Amino acid sequence: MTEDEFDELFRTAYPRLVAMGLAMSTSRHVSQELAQETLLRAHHRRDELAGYDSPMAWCRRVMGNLLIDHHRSRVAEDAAVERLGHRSSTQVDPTPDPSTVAASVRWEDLTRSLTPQQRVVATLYYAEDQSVADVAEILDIAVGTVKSALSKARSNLRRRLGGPDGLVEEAHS
Amino acid sequence: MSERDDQSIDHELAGVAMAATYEHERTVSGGETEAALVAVRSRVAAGDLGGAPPSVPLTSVAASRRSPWVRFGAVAAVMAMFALGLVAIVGGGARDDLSAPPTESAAADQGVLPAPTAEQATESEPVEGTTAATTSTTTTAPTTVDAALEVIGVDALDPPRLVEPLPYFTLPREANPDGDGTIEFAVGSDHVVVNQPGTGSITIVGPDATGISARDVPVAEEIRSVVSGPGPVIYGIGDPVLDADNPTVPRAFRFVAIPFLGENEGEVVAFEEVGVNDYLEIPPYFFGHGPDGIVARGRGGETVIGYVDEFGEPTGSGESAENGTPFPVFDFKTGTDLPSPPERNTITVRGADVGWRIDITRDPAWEATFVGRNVVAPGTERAIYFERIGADTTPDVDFGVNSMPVVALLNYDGTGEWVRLPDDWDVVASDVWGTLLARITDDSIELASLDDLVPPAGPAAPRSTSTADVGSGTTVAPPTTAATQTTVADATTTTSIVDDAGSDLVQPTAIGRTCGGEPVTCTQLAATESGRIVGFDAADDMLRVYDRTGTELQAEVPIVDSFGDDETFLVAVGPDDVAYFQTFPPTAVDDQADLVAIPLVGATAGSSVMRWTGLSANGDQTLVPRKTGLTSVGCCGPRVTRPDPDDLIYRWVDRNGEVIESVAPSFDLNLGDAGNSLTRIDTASDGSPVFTRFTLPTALQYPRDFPRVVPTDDGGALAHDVVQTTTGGVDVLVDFNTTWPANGVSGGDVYYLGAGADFGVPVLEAAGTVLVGDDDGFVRRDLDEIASRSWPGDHRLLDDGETIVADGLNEFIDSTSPTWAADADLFGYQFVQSVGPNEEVQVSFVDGASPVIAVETTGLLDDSVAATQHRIVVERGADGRFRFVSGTYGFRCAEGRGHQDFSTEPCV
Repeated sequence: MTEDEFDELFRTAYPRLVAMGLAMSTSRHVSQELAQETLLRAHHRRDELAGYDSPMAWCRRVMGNLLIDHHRSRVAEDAAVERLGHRSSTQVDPTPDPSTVAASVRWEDLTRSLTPQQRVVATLYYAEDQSVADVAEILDIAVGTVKSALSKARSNLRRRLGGPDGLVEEAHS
Repeated sequence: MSERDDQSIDHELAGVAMAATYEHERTVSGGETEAALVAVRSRVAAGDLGGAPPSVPLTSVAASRRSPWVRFGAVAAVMAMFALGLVAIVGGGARDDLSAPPTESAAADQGVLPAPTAEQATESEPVEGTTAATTSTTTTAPTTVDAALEVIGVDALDPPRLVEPLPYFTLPREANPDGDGTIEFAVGSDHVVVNQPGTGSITIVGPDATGISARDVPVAEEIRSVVSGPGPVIYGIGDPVLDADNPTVPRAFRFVAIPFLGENEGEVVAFEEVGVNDYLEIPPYFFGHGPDGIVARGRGGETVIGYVDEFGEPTGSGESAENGTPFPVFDFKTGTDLPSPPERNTITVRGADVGWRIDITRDPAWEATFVGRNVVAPGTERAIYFERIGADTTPDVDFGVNSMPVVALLNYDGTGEWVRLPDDWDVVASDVWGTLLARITDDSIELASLDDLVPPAGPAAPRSTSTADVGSGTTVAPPTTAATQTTVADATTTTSIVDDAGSDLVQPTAIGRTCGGEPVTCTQLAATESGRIVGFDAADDMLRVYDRTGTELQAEVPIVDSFGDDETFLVAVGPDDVAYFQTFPPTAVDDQADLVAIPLVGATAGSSVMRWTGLSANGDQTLVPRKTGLTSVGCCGPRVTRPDPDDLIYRWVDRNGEVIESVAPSFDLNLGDAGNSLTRIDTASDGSPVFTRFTLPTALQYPRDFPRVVPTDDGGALAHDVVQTTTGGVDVLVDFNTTWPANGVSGGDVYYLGAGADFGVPVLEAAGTVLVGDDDGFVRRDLDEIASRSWPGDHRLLDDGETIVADGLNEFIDSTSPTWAADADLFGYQFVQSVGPNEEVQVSFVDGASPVIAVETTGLLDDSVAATQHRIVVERGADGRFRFVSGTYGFRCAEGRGHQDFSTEPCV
């Protein structure tokens, strides 16, 4: 892959990877950082990627793994903070950071209760329109694992979506 | 409510998810993407592999034979084998050849560069009558240049400023029974190669779990003119290829590739033949990295061998981290003969609008060297050119040694400066990962880095240069002109306070220090985003704005709504020169405070334009500046990423109370398995972030909440925190810098506060200096003036892999009397100076007749080794400070993987 070809890949992939991060409820700047990290690694392997049918799939895999790592550390940390009750101290009324505020019913609100792996699987499956087999290949995990994660995610989301009106109920819950 | 089927759920989820993704994707502008691309390319150029940096596994140092180092005759050792057949060739290196200016000399280098333009012109004709101001008073014949280039002059009779090398590692030097030969060096991405002819091995010096260590790698073929990487492969000129008809005469030399790791370690895995006369009598670091392979920097950038992996398989240009940068070629042209004073040279970057003119005026007693002119080489984010321009110190010997080593630091914005090294130091290798210095004595080889010493010269940095417009053609942007300093008498009618970014930093300042009120508070200081100093005196409810140097009062801003007796602290000054105060009004609930924003300029100066109530303020929080505002980081929690991205933000506001954002750099802290790093986040012109990570020193592995940290002019950071040790709280200051090796910290970058800062460190400055209280005022100090620098050296292991030696540590303690030497924890940190991702360092101290300080590192990213231990036996001197007596190194295996005590037996 030439430098020009890499630049082309970068310009295509970067917005999609940032969007993928944001769709996983990751803050904008973490999404940007992880997207840069992913594409930095892609640069180092660009000749290898040139032989792939879809270099974007490789980028999704790396981004997915980075997102999983990031969210796992966050989940563990948040749980510990909750146990210590530190969250309750923020009884203030600051101007909220717009980059962290959900404007309406959004995908990330729905998926926030999923495990990191379920969230990546669901994001790839629903948001990136990848097949189960493609998700398995992208994440380098078994198809059965994808199906299992997807099933659990769907089950969780079904409850959050609720009745026939779906998202409306959850939005007001 | 009926249960919905999967298809219905999937359909709805896909709709929401795709819409959300599309919406998110649209928020990423083309400008942001381009800025991110530039950021990634910069990281590539800096050798950033992404993820955890690679390390060189090092084992014990095997016994080896070392050769003496001489300044010239690089080919002598190899040639010795074929002396009879090659005498004529060696003899060809006549001085007359050296005094003739090369007609075309180029270097293929890599680095961080502006975007290339159309193909640059190669040679251009001399311009008659060209004149230019230089630091030399001598004028000479016109030079050959094709652009308006910065003139960067150096004159042996008016030497540039001296810089002191910062030690990196010291190797023993042993006699070489095989005769003379040049000791050679190469800089790799995270290591240094030392190559001594006659030893049959090369030495790899680099970081491992013990710090910096060295190991010898026996090689099947002795090599010279070494280059390291990409990957664990060393390249160099190897054995001659014999002519079948006349086996005493070589017809070529092999340019070989030898891995220093893996199953082929030390073996030749690939080679190309080069002409037997092509690369004789060449200067140091003549070869370097090109787009596809090793190139001759000093010969037009021609490729001599393609890159291979450790198995000898071609890697092309994309298999490794280091070879993906756009590799420009430096064209070196000279308009005058050696040593015509001043010798005028033009260095340009082929394919880019960047270049420099370096004028050199040597001492009249200067002598040409055997290997001729040096080559231009890349350094960290700049190019370098090295020369010795002083008098010949051995006039009775041909090709003697000149004094006064000087280095031209050539920044890619077209600026530059010369600096001088101590006479016994040389630049021995340079690459995008750093510039290596060496001092070779009879029994040792001392290595040091240039990059830790001299930050890239920005527009405000001192330079002995002037601009010469000597022709038409490409245009190089001139250096930024410092804005004129302006005194502001009435801040309320002022729309801005003019920066004085170019002012010299001086001391003492004009900032007074008063104390008063109940409870008593003294003058509090903060810096604006442009570096001006703001003082707040609660006693008279006045804000005073000084210039960057603190020597001139620019404005006095009375606070309209007095804080009265409310305890009030100046927290920060945000964008648009708005100051933020934390105050405790009587109406506030216990442990809660208000945050108040008060502009320093404009019609609202001194008035509150925003007030937040109910901040948790029990003393366990620190307000940390971000791009969007201030966020509160709490104490002692398990959060490894600080500030938490989900924390509430108290948004920056402008002088009218409207929400704005800052373009000043901010910082993230990632602890434990999140990386043990500090990340500086700069904002590109289009608003996208640019990240620079720094390794955390061991002293900062457990910050209480968030260190006070400011961005420095050199792209790094200056941090302050209080760390707990066995002797109590200790103020620590860390000078994070972006230099080799890989944004790390060395011992010399960590300081512990001592005498000279009785009132703390109220202001950290972008220049790397601090303001401290001094009775009734404030003075500016260098870190060395107020704090004890950590040991700038590092320990090493002896050949047994177990015995620790600490060359120079006791001498450093004797000569500098550092405060840290009396603290067992801080003494232990000298042996494990930084923490890698997921690592934790614990120091234990057992007092007694032979006190022992044990430094244990756990959390290693190694599934077989659970922990390492540096066990240091010390003695306490009459001054209360410890001294090193002896030490041992060992490691404990993971459960089920071997021994559970500390030893050097391999784990399974």
